Amino acid sequence: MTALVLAVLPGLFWTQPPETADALRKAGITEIGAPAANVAAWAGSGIKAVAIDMAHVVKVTEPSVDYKIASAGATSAPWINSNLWLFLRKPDSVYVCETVKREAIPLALGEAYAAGVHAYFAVKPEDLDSFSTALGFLKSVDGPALHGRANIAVVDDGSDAVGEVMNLLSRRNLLFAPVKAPAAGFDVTVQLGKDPYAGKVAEDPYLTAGEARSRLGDARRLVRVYGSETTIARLEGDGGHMRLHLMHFGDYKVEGLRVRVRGAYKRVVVRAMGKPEQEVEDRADEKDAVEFSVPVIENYLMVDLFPAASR
Amino acid sequence: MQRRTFLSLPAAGVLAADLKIPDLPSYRSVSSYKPAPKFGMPGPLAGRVVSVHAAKAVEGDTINTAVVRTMMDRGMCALTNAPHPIEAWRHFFEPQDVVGIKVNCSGAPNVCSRPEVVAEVVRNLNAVGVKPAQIWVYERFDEQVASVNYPRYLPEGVNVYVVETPRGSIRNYDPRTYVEVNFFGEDDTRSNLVRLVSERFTKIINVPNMKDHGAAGVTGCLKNIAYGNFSNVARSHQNEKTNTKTFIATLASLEPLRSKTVLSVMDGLRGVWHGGPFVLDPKWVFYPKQIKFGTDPVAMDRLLLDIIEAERKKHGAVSVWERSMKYVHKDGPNDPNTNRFIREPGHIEYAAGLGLGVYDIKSIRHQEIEIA
Repeated sequence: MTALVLAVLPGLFWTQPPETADALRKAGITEIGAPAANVAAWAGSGIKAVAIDMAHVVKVTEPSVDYKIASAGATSAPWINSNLWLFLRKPDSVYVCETVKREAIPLALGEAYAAGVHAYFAVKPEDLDSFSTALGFLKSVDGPALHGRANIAVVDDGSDAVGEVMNLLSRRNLLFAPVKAPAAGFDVTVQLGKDPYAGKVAEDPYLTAGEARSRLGDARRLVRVYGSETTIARLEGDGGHMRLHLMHFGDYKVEGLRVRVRGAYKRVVVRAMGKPEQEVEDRADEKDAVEFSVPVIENYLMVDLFPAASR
Repeated sequence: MQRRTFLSLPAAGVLAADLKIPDLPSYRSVSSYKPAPKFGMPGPLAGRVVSVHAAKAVEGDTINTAVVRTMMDRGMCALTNAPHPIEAWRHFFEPQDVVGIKVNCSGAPNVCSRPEVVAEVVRNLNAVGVKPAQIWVYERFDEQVASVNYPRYLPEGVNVYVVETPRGSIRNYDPRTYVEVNFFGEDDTRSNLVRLVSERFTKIINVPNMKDHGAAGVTGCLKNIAYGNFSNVARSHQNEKTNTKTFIATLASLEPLRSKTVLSVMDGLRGVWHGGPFVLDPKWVFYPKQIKFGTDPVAMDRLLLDIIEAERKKHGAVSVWERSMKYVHKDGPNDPNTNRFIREPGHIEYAAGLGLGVYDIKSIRHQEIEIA
């Protein structure tokens, strides 16, 4: 019998003293992550404090978007500051984000949850309610961990250049998995320095990502997102239940976001924070994919796709 | 039941060979709608254009509504050879029609589809029996439409509709009717048709203006009906060398937009001879004081080309056909001889190649009417 492994939920990074336990409880928070030196002080407080070895955590910044109003570039697409690629690259690391603004909390937690990493986020005391709401949503939809889906392999030599390629692939919804060496099971393998990812293509991550896209072909992409330049996707599943995480970095909500997912599915539902389960809109089934519109995305939501009528 | 889509892989490939278009983007037009047997672009009056000029149509900044009414009546009667305006409008519209009026507000409030002109269109539709609730004045962006205040000029019940609310949302575009193309590696490769066009309107009246356009060369019938009815179109002019030459007509050709656009009323009471489609500097506004009527957007835009070109020449500005990079500046049109892009007025001839109308000036039957 195989035990089900639950997905990893993000945590609250809390450096306040144990006197704040009441405030935490009031917000519905029963567990925190704290610097290892602080943990003992929380004994008997009723709050479970998990020790974080600050010497070994990876610090990240909150997710955000830069609309590049004042700068020119290769494209006019806004610059997404996402941690997803890093989370996917180093899934076993522990991450700490020491400042998360209230409006970024759902996206920050959603991004970590989508990647399935141990990540802790610090929020202001007055924003504990927002954190609790976001965490509560994730708990409500949590289930067994699913495998990340990707059809692009990126050979990771640990370099910054490869990291930037992963970043760009992630931002462009070219679903990738880091590998130590070329491996079977992928449609495209990106290995910097090896043809066709050599020379100028290797020197410019934008060109590298473009080459990978070209080699794969849009028709074979596992996920397409239309109607937003600031929404990125992560697809998980095991051939049965599939879960699509959609992370929206834009300052404005998008109504009617169009999504295409490879595969055939009976039932497709949207789960968004603070909203009842919703049916997708304008569904269209193709031979090897399903297309649908998401009623509205504000920051983070997930779409569950089921191959059979059962849920 | 799912509607089946069909791929119309157009005449674009053939046309590219005919017109020797290098680097023609690979367009994929997706629509389940078939061409209508009657009307559409170029419609029954291909190659026919009526221009009505009235010196008193605009006095200062004021539009003379009585003169506009006369212009409209004379123009529509001449276009259709009808003895009376109501007969002219009945040539195109029936009481049960649901009519979209595609206005252009990108230069609003100074140069746009004037509400006085739109009101006159609406009055005639009402006269034919089309009820106010069946009329939709529409445009893509809210802030531009709001600056015009159309409702103040229109009968109660006429819908004034903005597609992107909030801006950037694609809910009000048809997810199954679109043109797909990858211009420069952008990830969102689709431009979807306004949902009302495919699902609700039975007919469309195109009410463009007479304007220079930094990317397209001019913006008249084709540009307004194409870029004004689809999402995600600005991507065609990201760089100095744009894709407007082929994209405009490709969009305009998509069904059902092509079949439903039965009439164009080009509001040239005011125009923009440089810096368009916006009004970046009031001194680039001019006053053609005319309205053009037709069903053929290519023929109308071909005439517009000459008007914009002549006005630019009058001010010593370079031709819209100029392609030298020495006039291209990334900061945009700071003076009449700078521009952000290489203009592509060839989009009009390209549209003729897709069968949208008559480009050859000698084949255009142009009737000019002067109102004292």
